Amino acid sequence: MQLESVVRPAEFDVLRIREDFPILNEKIHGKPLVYLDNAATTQKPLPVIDALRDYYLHHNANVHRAIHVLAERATEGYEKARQAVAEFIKARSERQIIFTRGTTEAINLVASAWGRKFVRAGDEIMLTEMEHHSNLVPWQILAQEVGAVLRFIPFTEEGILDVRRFETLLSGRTRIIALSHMSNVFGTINPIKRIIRMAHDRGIPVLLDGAQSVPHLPIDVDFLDCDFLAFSSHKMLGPTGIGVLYAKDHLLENMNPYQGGGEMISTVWLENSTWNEIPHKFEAGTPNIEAAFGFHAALDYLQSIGMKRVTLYEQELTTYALNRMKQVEGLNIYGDAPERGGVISFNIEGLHPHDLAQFLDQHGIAIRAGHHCAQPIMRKLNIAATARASFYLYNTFEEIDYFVDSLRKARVFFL
Amino acid sequence: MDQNQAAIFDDRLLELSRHPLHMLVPGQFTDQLQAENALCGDQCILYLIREGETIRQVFFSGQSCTMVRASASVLTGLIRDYPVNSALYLAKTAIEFFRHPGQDVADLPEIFSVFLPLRQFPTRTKCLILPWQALSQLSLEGKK
Repeated sequence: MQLESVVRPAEFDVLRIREDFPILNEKIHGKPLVYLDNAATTQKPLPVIDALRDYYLHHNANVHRAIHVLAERATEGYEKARQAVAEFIKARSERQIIFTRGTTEAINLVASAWGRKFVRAGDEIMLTEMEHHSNLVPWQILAQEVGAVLRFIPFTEEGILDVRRFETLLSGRTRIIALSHMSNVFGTINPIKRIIRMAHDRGIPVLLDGAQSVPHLPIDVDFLDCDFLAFSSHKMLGPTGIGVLYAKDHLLENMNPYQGGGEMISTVWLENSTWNEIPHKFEAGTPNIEAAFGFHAALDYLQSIGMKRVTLYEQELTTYALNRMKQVEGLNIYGDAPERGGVISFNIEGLHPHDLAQFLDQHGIAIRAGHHCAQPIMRKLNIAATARASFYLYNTFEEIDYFVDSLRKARVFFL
Repeated sequence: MDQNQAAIFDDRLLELSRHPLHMLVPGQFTDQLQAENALCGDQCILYLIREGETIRQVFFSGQSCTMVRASASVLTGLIRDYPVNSALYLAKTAIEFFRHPGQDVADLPEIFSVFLPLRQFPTRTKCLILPWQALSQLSLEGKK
């Protein structure tokens, strides 16, 4: 593949984008950093770093409380971030946006606050076999607590959900379906529109784990018609420690609070309390205010580039990487879905992923090696772990060339 | 070979990994001990053949990386004909050595020097520790 045919600098100026990410100039073991661990977390552009610094230099105060200028600035910035999130995913109202610590907490919030109220003994919770632990373990805890049953949509050899099987698994006892939009192991983009429609035909709400999809795809929750959507700031250029639960109004109104404390109340008596309006009902205590400022800057940054352009560029990068990686002797790629994102899990025969990751690190290349918080997938594939390369808007075709050349060197070195 | 790679993947370490010592499941054994690395799902299973309080032979198996195989090879080579108490003391010392990069290697056999460059990588020390963690369960688990 000719680089000129895919880079198209006039349409997507990756070199210009890279200038916004100072960390990409780092040398690792004396070599330029090639960061291919974006499914774990992403690097931060200068506007995000500046927003965090600016917050502490000029706006630091607690939100929704004091009557002074700093508190007003902090509150305004925090609520503007909520508005920016709503616009980014095309939610109808910022009331539908709850700030959490991340995707994991957002899913735990639903499993706890919605699940405890609406799931009963003998009810069924439908998941898939390809979930990250964060969309598995909270439901296990709920199921054990209330006596519910977990059902799993299987995946095929290609890492694709078996949707026909899904239909047969649905029953009159299915209370919720929770699944990943994009797999963090296979990169598969699941057919969620179809699944949501089938679920809604039976009156079943659907939770989407958007940790891997929201950072990379244009998202329209109104079009998808999902009931819940969970995602994290740090996987989309923003700070760690803040994430989002989107939910439809009527679901939030009917859920009990997740945690009790300041901020989430309306009136407190010694014996009982009444709750604040949504979304504040679900945000007990002082939130991660500076992260909200940073997250807002990250969303603005992505919007300035355009999510459709981000998606297209990443698709070209991924196709290029897949083609080149398939030429490496002994390299097996896990997942072969036609609809996929920039996450590639793989192994090289006879080479442990940890050894490979260590070797690549010595060449300045950061990848992930392990079970990717998806042990049931590894078990089904009959492996302990994989290596995983994952891309974002600042990665280049030259980096992929260097990565693939280094994979070949690793084979020679170890085998 | 790249200098950095050479420093981390010592020739002796690579040799122990490519041709691990005592990597098999024996037909008979007196004790089976196991440890798992939660980061990657690797496991190391030790099979001991004991006569009273003396360990006569040790073998290992399990899905594992270069580090685990090299570390297990060292372990199985060292504790042959060791009293149980001495083996447990060695396991404790080895784990401390891996966990604390500043610790001197003087109390341990010379072969441990192959692991010295790896102690700067906390994730990889978890691999190196695995066989020794399995061995350290000996007194807790007893015969199986």
